[in-house]
Amino acid sequence: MTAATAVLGYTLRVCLPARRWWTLVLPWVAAVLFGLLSFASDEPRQEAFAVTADHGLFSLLIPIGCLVVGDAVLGAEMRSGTFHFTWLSPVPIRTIVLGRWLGGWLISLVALVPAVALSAVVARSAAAIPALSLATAAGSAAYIGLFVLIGCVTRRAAVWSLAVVFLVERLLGSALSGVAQLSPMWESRAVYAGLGPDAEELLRDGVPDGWAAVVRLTIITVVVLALASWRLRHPRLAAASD
Amino acid sequence: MSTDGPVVTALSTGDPAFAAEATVEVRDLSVWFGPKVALSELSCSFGPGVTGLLGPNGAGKTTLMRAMTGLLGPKSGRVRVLGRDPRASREVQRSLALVPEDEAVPAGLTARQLVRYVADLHGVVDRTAVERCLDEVDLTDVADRKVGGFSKGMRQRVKVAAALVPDPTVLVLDEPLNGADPVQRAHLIALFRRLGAEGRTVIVSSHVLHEVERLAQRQIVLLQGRLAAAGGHRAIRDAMADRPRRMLVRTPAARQLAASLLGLEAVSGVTVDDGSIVVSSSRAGEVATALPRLARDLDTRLEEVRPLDDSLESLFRELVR
Amino acid sequence: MSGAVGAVGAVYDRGYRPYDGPRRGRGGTVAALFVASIRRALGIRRSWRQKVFPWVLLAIVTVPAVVNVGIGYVTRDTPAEGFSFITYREYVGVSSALLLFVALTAPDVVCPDRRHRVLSLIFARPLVGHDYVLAKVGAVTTIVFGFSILPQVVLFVGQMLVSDGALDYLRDNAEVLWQVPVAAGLLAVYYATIGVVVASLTSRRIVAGVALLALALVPSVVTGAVIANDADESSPVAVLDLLSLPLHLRDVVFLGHVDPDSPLGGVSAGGLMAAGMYTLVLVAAVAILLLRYREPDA
Repeated sequence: MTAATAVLGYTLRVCLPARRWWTLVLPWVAAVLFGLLSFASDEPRQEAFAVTADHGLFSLLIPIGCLVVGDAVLGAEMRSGTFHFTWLSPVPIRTIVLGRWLGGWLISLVALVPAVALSAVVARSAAAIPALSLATAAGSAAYIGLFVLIGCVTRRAAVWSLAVVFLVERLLGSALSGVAQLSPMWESRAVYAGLGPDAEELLRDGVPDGWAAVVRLTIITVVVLALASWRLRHPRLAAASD
Repeated sequence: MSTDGPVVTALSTGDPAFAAEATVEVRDLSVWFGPKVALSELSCSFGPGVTGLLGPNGAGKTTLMRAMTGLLGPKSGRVRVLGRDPRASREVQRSLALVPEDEAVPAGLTARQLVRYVADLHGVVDRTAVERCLDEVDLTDVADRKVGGFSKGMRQRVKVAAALVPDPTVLVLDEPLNGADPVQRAHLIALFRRLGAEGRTVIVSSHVLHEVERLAQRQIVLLQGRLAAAGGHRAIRDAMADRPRRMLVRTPAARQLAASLLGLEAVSGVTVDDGSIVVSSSRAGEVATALPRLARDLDTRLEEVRPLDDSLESLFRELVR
Repeated sequence: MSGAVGAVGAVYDRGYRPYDGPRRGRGGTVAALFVASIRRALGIRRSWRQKVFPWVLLAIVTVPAVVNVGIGYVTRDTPAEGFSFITYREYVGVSSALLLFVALTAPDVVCPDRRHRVLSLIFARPLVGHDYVLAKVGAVTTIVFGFSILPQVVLFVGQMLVSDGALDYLRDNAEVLWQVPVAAGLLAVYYATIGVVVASLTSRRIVAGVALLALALVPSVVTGAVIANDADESSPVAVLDLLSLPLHLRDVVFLGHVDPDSPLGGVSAGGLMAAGMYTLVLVAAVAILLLRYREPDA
């Protein structure tokens, strides 16, 4: 087994709780709930679902799901004092970061993409599935990368991650499109706004949508992972905490 | 030297803080965490064989070990392992291994999975290496149990196994005997001595001084982040000339022998107690040579002559006082 | 030379001895735990890094007060157009900052005890389960209450100073002086209790924070969507919106009845329903907490 595969396998094994498999099902339940919610609106199915996707999926489900997974793949391990097993090895730092990120992304894909698809099915808006899945996949790639970065940079990862999502993205991002352009939450929403059926309501001036948003999310992912690799070259790993 | 004495380390004829053929060098290393200084301009080096790293709690041993492996960066000064900076060179990590003190292990993995993970990270091709290392630390029967459920001693051993699997040239062990029962301790000590004899650089920190004494001929002693002493522990003790050595002499004519001992210039103090004498002297060699002559002059025999503070433990207590 | 001089001696430092002095008993233990939790959450006597978030969030929440006072001052002679001054009632509210604050503070106060296995140490003291719950919920309530009250004080004092007659202003708005603390208190107890109960279920702060935010926001989104499509925009379902529940009680305190514009407005006995649900939530939360901390390592 190569080192990269080993890192990936380790990440999956450590972060996927064996006994608590039901935690992976929680997002599905929440997504179904949001899907059902779209029936509360009298508008045509596609539009109603777009609104639900905005309030429920992109604003809550995806950030929260990625937050938990993103911290677990790196930050939690650095705080618990077991990261030295990985760091004290000849594996290049970028391989470590990529492996961790990939593990996190795969887990979030498994947890979130079927969930959002289920949500669309329940809302009888199955035509939305392709755009929704793309938006979720791209958005979670950027989010996991972001939380990996936060985990390497600070011990108070919980505080900073929550602040980034709820203060910076939600509050500031809804006011300032300059912030929204760099935000995985708004950009993933914009992917759906551009590509999803009848989702024009979600479009926002100043925030690139559709495929442009996918590109932007990819750039965000690459940048945060590069920053994380740079930071991990010079760790300060004192004894365990948290 | 008896066959179960400590492993010989080649000492340079110069400063005992620096080993000949040094594999790990530390120069003017300073590490601080905010206002707390953990290491202060420490300079020393380690070479092949087993070296003991001693010091009271808080002396900076763990910080030094983490700095040597690259987990912590020097605030000033530098660390070189096999000539390279462990933080900059990923290659040198191939030959370096650390067994840290804290108990944290990734709970969800079994022992075998953990050791195999480390083996894969290091690109260990040999398929049997994992089994050998697990066997070395006696964990073969529990290899498929999750390490989260291991006792402290078992966790320590699985960390040693993980450290051994990449066949490191430099092995740094922070309190490896912690939590091990006497049988396991003996086993681990034999293992470390063998590793040292194979030419690896083994650096061990421990509080179990009588075992470190047998294990490592060379000691580095840290106190409050600074180098307090270095070299063989008997040599260190001799270097502390201002603190007299004590010897126990048992003889039937205790009082008379004590009186004649007091006549020797090298003797600084004598305590008599019911058939035994404790002699204090900073020139213990002279006293030891003079003893048989004095005993013969008094026509009495010497039943026992032994140094009272020859052990590492008493040296340590003297240093740390 | 013998006798008197040698007969007198003293030892000045015997080193470690067990403590013989007075002990404070259970009340003292609870008080100590309470104070320690507050210090930890606010970063008092710790590095500036621990202080950043609580105080930054407090600053954010105080901004509207400052803005209002400022504009009030600038337009004191000419009436302002298009700017609606915030009322005290509206200002005792739920903002993202407050929510985030609770989501960060409650786990920070509760989770580390479990994570670092300190619970059994704490319960080795003369402390019973409900003492611990009381101390922790009390600590978070106090902090959230302070957090809600301080901006109000800024607003009130600012308005007083900016108005034509400070004492007249005080007299005219005297009832605010009891309404705001009561409403803020109701809010603080509610969010603190929910925060602590969610945090007590896990040992990871991040999971607790996220769960808390989900618990607050998901019902809000759901009930919002359900109600949006009702004819008169009000429905008893609004009582299930956990996030805004204490706001109805706040309205009762300030107005004597539920705000007609709120989702509960058109519902008969809306105030009573809100109060009932509020009590139900608190009772359930406290019950869970007592169960959770019945055994030290639960």
